[in-house]
Amino acid sequence: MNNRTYFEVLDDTAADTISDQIDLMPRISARLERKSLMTTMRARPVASIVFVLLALLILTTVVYALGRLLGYVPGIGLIDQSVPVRVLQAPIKVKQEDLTITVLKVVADATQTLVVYRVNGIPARMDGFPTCGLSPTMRLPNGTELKALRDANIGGMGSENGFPMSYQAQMSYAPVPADVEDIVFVFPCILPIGKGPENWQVQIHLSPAPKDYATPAVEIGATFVASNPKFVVSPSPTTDMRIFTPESPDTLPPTSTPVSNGSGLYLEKVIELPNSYILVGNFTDAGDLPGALEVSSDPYESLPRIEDGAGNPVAFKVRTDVKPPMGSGVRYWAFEVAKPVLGPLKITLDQVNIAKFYTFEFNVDAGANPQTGQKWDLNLPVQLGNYEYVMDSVEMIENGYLFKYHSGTDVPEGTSPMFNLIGPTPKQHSGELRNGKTIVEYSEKLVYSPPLPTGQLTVELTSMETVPLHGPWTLTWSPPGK
Amino acid sequence: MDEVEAVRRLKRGEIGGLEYFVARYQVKATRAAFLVTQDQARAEDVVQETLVRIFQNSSRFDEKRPFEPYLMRSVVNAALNACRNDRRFVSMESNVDVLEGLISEAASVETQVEYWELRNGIMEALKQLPARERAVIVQRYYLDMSEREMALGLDTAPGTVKWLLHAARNRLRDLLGRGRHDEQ
Repeated sequence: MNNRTYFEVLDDTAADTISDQIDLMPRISARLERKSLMTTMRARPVASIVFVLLALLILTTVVYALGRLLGYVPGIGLIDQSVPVRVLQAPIKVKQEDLTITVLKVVADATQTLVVYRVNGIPARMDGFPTCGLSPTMRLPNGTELKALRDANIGGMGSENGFPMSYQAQMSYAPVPADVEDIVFVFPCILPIGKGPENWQVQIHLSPAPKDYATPAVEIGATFVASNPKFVVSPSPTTDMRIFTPESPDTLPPTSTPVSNGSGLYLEKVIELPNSYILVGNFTDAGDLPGALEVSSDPYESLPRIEDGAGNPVAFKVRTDVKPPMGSGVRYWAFEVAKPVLGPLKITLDQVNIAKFYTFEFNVDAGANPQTGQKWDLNLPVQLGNYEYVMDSVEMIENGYLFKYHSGTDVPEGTSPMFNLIGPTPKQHSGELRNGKTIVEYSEKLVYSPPLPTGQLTVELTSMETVPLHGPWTLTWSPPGK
Repeated sequence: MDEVEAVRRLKRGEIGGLEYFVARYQVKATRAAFLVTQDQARAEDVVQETLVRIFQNSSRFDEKRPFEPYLMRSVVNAALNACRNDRRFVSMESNVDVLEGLISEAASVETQVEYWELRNGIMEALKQLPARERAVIVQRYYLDMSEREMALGLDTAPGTVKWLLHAARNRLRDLLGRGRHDEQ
């Protein structure tokens, strides 16, 4: 006889429709990118419009000729010209009710099918996020959908008198087969489902790209020298809180990617255009920093300084159309430097933000046979970073323990410590926080499936603070001699 | 990366922290949302939006609390909100007791054909329930939440949850019972 749980029955019921293979992450990433710009725009509409204008100025900068298989298209980035590149000849506009989708560019190269589109006419709504959560798809004439490679990359955003809202986005799909000229760009919806027209279809015809469509580009040597500060760890005698002290900079030998020289600046590639170089690289957290690197998605945040061979500052442009997407523990960048430039170029990053963790451990002896209702008063002061807590008591409850502690009201919201009783995972762990006038009271309730942990109970409290970490980190690269 | 590290990364606004939770919970969360919304696209939309919201408000996430119940509660609430314009109305006489009988039957049935038929029956019956009662069923039987947790999650009194659960059980039992009776 079978013995399925209720969960299994309902899970199997839902699994008839929702498979194990769903992958929501690409669409979530797309929404995050779209949303962050919309949020910025709502908060600072004027600044956002200025940003859009600046972005357009940068993106319409034309760079001239040289080159082989690679090409650079402003606003699109690098394209692979090893097969004939095909494009959309003129923008296509599709309108329903007050909504308009404009497909601005389509580029089909050897590696991908890239679409830049704009959506106008989104009404600002106060009761939720105003756009559809489903990403558009690209369909071939035989009904096959091209796999989405990278979900969206905002190219710009604007508004007209605050209303209606609009956004511009970029989608990347698998390459279109060489013998296919017509494809369909399908939007399940623009507004949230049920709020407006659905199942939009934009017919796209691909034509051979004009000869001068892409600025020829060539990837050149990216050998560089890096100098990274070194951090050492020394244990604190009272708690296991760790203190980190920067030592003198440690200069690394010349190297080219891929490299593994600890945390710092890395140069991944250099693209040479007729009138400039685009340096593409990253700041990698290799795990040797005194805290985890905080990775921001804002490409204009924490910019480095660039100096030429004479020590003079060099102006550079941030190239978001070439920069790889953000990754965990890695912050990517792409900077364009105009030619001619006196080498070697030195990129200096003075500071990054890291998350610093503070941990405190203590023991409570619950004895071999604790009884429900039994209580231990602790009154134990605990210093975690800049904040002081007091462990008040532990009480045995049915199949578990209730821990109580408090802090002053100076502890910022959202930075309350993580509580962990070392040992078996509790069946249930719930916490409460009460803000009083002078203190904040915390309680942690842990309930276990038998057997209940007894004897010496080891409790771990961990808190996190964001702090600046000073370098400098430097990277030196020499342009090829001409 | 374990869940503690993922929460830390999430709180720092790192996409890697979110990726961990998406990979770990997306299937269960989408199924929970689907059982409430009865619509695949809407369910996926609900889960995406919930995870985006959690990511954007992650600095306020209380790391003392385990992530999964927080996510699932948020997903069910969002699914319920997504259904709030549904005007489905079911007029049924309430019989006493219980969904347990139906799911128990599905839980113990031997053949795959019978199991499949019962699953279809459960889906059909769920479809006929108001969204709020579906949410209660999902919370109680799929997410294994206590009535107190459900009351907190639905922002309602425990008594109301008890009543909703009771009503949902009755309705489901009635619907399924009637369906099978008609087939005989």
